[in-house]
Amino acid sequence: MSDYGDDGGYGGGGGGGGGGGVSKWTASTPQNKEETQSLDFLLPESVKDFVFDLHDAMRRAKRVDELEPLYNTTFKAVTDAYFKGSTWPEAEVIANQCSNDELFLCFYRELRNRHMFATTNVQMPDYLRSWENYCRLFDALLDCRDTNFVITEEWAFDLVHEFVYQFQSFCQMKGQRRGGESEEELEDAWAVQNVIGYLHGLIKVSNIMPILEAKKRPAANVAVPAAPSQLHQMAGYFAIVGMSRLQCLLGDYYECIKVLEAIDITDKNELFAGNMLAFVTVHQHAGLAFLMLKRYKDAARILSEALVHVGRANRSGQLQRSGYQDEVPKTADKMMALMAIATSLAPGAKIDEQMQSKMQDTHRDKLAKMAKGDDQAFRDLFSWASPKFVCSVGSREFYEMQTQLFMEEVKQQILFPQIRSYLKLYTTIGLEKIARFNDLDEEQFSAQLVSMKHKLTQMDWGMSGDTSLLEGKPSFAMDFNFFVEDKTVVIDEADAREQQGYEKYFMSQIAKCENVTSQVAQVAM
Amino acid sequence: MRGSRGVKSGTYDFEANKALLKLYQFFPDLCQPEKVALVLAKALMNVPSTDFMALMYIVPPNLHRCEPVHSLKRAADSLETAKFVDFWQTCADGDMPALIESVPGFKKHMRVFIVHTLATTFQDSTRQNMEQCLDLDGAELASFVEANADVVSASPDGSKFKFALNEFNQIQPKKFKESVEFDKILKTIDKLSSF
Repeated sequence: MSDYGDDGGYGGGGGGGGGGGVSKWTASTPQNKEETQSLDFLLPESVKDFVFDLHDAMRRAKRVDELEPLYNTTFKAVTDAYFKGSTWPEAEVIANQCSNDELFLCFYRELRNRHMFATTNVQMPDYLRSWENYCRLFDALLDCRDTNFVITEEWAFDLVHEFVYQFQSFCQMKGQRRGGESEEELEDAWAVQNVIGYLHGLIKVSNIMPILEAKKRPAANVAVPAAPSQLHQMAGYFAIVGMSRLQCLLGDYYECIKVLEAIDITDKNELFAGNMLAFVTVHQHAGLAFLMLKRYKDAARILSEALVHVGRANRSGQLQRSGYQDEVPKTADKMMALMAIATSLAPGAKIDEQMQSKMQDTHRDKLAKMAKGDDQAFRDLFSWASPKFVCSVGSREFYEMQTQLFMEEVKQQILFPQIRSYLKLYTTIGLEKIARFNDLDEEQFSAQLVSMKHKLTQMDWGMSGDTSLLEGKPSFAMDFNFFVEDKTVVIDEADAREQQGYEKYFMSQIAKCENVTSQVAQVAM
Repeated sequence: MRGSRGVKSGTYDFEANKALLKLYQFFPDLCQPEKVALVLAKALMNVPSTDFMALMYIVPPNLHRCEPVHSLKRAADSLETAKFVDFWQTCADGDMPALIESVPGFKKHMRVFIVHTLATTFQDSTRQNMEQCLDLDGAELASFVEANADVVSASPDGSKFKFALNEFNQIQPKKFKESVEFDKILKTIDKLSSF
């Protein structure tokens, strides 16, 4: 055990410049053959058994049902028992357990690296080695010569998800380095075009696009292309999810949404919806992309839907069983903050009532500030809730630019909440008078009204599974309409929303009352 | 497919233009600022779609501060905040006239957008306001109005303009929707009658 404990140790002392890390790493990595052989004997039986079984289920028996408990339960149990705070043995050490199966060892290394990245303080050389492994792994998958394997849904998702995560944190780390020596080496590793290239390759080689298309619109006379293997199909599917996230991190919000068109994201029976982390990943990034592209109603709706689903999964225990009980609630909190921003910008957005009141409880202070036009409140929430945007060069500057651009948009709209609250008080009011209330002259106020009309008339997809995410009809993201007729502002509360509110209110109050009386009745007995 | 009113000239391909900007994003050494400006000008022309905004997120940060991208940004800002006089002012400054010259139809598309946007808020406008917002007067204004007769029309004496009524600039008939399901009502009545 203690022999490979040093693997985990090198990271802990790090934190200095990259240069120091490199020499430290090269000193500890090369293990000659004899040492490798002997290490195998030192491994606990349950570790060897796990690797043997994993290989067997994945490559020989090709049984997903056997792979599932191994991946979902045993891996965690063995990790907790032997590798807490350290790393799994090097692939070479356990190679005997899988008859030196090169491709399997790539999967194993990925698993090992993922655990290492999650638990130890990784350094630049780890990123480079991990990149090498991804290259080997993905090149083999794209090559399609070997298709003798299966994978579980979780594993396929985790694989792609981790790939994007490591790219993101690599970019951040690179951004923090100051004049490293090995710039040339870095040039190629984790290059954004290659990262996109691999995800794109997985999508393409798996035929997942035509497969999903055929599922959406079944046509009798067209042969549906098959994926080269079950694993290819899974990896291709989750590469779509990964690609959407990646494009969002790169600031291409249009592409983030476009990629998702292949999947019906409203369908809870879709593969991604069965995986809690995949589910929130899709909705978080799509929600953010809608927010960035000034489609606030869609952003609010998609985030609200997702949060309702997460809440339900939490109550039913699905979340606890999913294995993502740490990540999902954290992401959900951020989605809630993004939703608070979206609903503040688009008062006409309709979201789930329970989520609305939960959001009000959580962000009461910030929501009140945003309603008063405090741009700092927008910035605070946005900075907290947005992911770390990255770029191939200058990630920090790029990240700041995304926030900056969003804030510029917010500032253009900063007077809207105040103007809206004044308009709401009237059915008609003189232009000059209401301009004065807002400390503006008539011309300035007119411009605000026009800008409000223009900005809040937004593409509205409306979460209808049949329509493309990029399309929809223009709709007004306010809770009432207004226009100017001969120097008089006319406010039109055409929306039936107000009336609907009463019915819902009474219904829920009657239900509450019924609850209380039945509880009282029980106590009385 | 994308955008709505305004640009329908077959020469605008948002995704191809975006691909070019991404190439510059990934390989900053290849970046040609004048191409970036051209792509952005085309995107701005496609308002009310959010193409310009979508592209600004991937334009390299250093270019945001350089001309003519900086001026384009200012122009977009004026357009978004409906300060149309400022918009035309910006279009006449510095490198902008040359850039606009290289994008055929830029001013025309902008005017169509502006007049449509005004029509979502106003039912009418004074001549002076129209002249300023569209940066046109006399015969030019008259022929523009004539070409956009589906949106705007001049009063007989030419001193006022009327915008055609649309779903945004007039009172809409009230829609009442039954939002409580029947079985919920049934349950509620059941509960209430049990008291």
